[in-house]
Amino acid sequence: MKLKAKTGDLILAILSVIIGAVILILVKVQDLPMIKRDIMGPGFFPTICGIAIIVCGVLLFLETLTQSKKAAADENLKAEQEAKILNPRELKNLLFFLLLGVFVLVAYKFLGMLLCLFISVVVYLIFQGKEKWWKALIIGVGMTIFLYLIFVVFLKVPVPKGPLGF
Amino acid sequence: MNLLQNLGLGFSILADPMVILYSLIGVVCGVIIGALPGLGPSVGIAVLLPLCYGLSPACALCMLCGIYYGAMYGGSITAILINTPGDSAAIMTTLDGYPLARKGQAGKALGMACLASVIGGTISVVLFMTLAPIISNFATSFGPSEYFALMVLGLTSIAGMTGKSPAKGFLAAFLGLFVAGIGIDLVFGTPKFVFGNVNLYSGIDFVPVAMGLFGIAEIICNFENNNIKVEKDSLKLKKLLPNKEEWKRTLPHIGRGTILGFIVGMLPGAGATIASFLSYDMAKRTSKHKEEFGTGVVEGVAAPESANNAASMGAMVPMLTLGVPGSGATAIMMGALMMLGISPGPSFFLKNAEVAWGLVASMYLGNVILVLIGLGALGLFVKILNVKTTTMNALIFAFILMGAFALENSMFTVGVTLFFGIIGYFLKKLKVPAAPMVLALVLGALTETNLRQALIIDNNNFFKVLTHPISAVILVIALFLAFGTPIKNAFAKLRAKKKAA
Repeated sequence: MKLKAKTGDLILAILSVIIGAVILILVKVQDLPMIKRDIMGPGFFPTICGIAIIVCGVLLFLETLTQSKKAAADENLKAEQEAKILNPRELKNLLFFLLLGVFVLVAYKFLGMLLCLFISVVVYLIFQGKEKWWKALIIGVGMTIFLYLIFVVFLKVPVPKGPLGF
Repeated sequence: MNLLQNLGLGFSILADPMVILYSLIGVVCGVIIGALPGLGPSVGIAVLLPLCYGLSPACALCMLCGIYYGAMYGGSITAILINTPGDSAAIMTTLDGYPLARKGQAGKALGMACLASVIGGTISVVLFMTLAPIISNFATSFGPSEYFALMVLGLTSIAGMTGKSPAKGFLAAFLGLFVAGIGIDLVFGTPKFVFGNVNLYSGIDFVPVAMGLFGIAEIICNFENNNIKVEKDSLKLKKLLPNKEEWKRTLPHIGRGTILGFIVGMLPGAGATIASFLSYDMAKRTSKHKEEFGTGVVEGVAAPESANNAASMGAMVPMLTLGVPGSGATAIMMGALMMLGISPGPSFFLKNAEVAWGLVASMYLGNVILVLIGLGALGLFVKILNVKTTTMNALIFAFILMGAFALENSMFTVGVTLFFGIIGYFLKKLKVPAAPMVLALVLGALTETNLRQALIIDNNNFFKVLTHPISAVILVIALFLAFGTPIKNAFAKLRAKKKAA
């Protein structure tokens, strides 16, 4: 991903305008009036937020364009705007955490929360941390025991249990 | 006399060993998290918040405060040893701390950082103790319109957190305000943006949002291993303590840094980073050895460290007495207090005197613990910091998910945490600050409720709400905070143009 800071800012500006517009549309669709029975209605704050988000988006768009013009004469600013903001290693890490998070959200019903977290830690350590499998297993077991002691024994949180009884 | 009685009440709470234990846990966790590059007090408090669940308010508060000032000191460990500040407030510590470490005086720099933090912290606790009840007493006459003005003041502190682009800071804040509005409308009972999802009816709590924005987003970007190598000999107690000459050189800077830090910390949006910058600059200007700054002098470590700890204490004043958090970390703390059923604000010292004065006493205790573990267990911290970053990431990830579940015993909060973690990562990459979003999320509902109440009291006359004498003064200050700098810049540009013409 070779997304430059400047392009990222422009995308963010456009997205902000879209998000603000969606909020305003939702206020209408969900029938949230700004004033109801002569007092501030449920739509008052969301409407203000929607408008403000659009304004921020427009300002950000203009700010980015103005800075692009200035960047022609300023080397530092140019380097800042041309800098690539997404790092492939970070994106891989993001994807890993996302997949592991989704795995926990889906599998906790069948395996239990603690077993899911144990698997997530071990998988992450082997594939992202490049740890040896036995070392990852030891860390995973240690972490699971730590979580069990703090949350189940100490804080008495009713953690969803799996087939192994924890 | 009254003050001493109150303080006695606070110290009586410390007789409970559990309070001392939680304070110790807080400081230790704070130092470790604060020392990890990228993870500051906000992340520390956000990640460890679920541990407060089920604790007594006194224990929870002591732990949170411990994390807060433990993290402020922890940031300096990596700043001194590997030239990488654990958080932005420790940036100035690298300037002289790292050169000291390279001269073979790492122990001295670390010892000075710890002692300066503790002295700064202790003096500012005294300032806090004196100022907070006075402000609280003054603010007890506040009604909804004054509270609304205070919330607006809190929200305008975002101007100080925006970095280079105010548009990005305010964008984050309004997104936070929007998220705060999701759920059932308190007056009319109308569901807002819930899309039939039962979990959304009670709104989105700020804790999973903060854990995602600060915790998950940070571990996604965190890779570099620390590889700290320190000679065992330099961490011996004798080497950590400054000598007479060094005390003489540093004490005036610590004193000035503390007072400056405390005042800056009280200002909404300014915070510990700015305090440490200003304090270093002041120390350099007032020192007899100006030219030595940057080459490794103990004053260069003492000044910013005393200021950033004092600022963290100063930031507690508006949060606890007025209910206006001025930074990301205090916003999370305020949310945590609300989670525990305590409403920070003018009545905090009246209604929760025991907790309030217990907090003051725990600050003293926290400082003592910080000295003990800061000087006594440095070797252990260095060992912990050498754990591989990926291993630390995996452990923090599992802890966050488990903590998110524990908040409401629901997997929905786990999903919310993950969702905001991903959003937080992209916001971080686009240099959109996350703190305004959390601040707005905490203040959003309060702002709306107070405005509505004020309007009902003043017969829907918005102008009347704004022109109550105290509200008007607060709103003018808020306007100045929000637009003061852009207006000043515009005037400066105009003047420059006139001169050029």
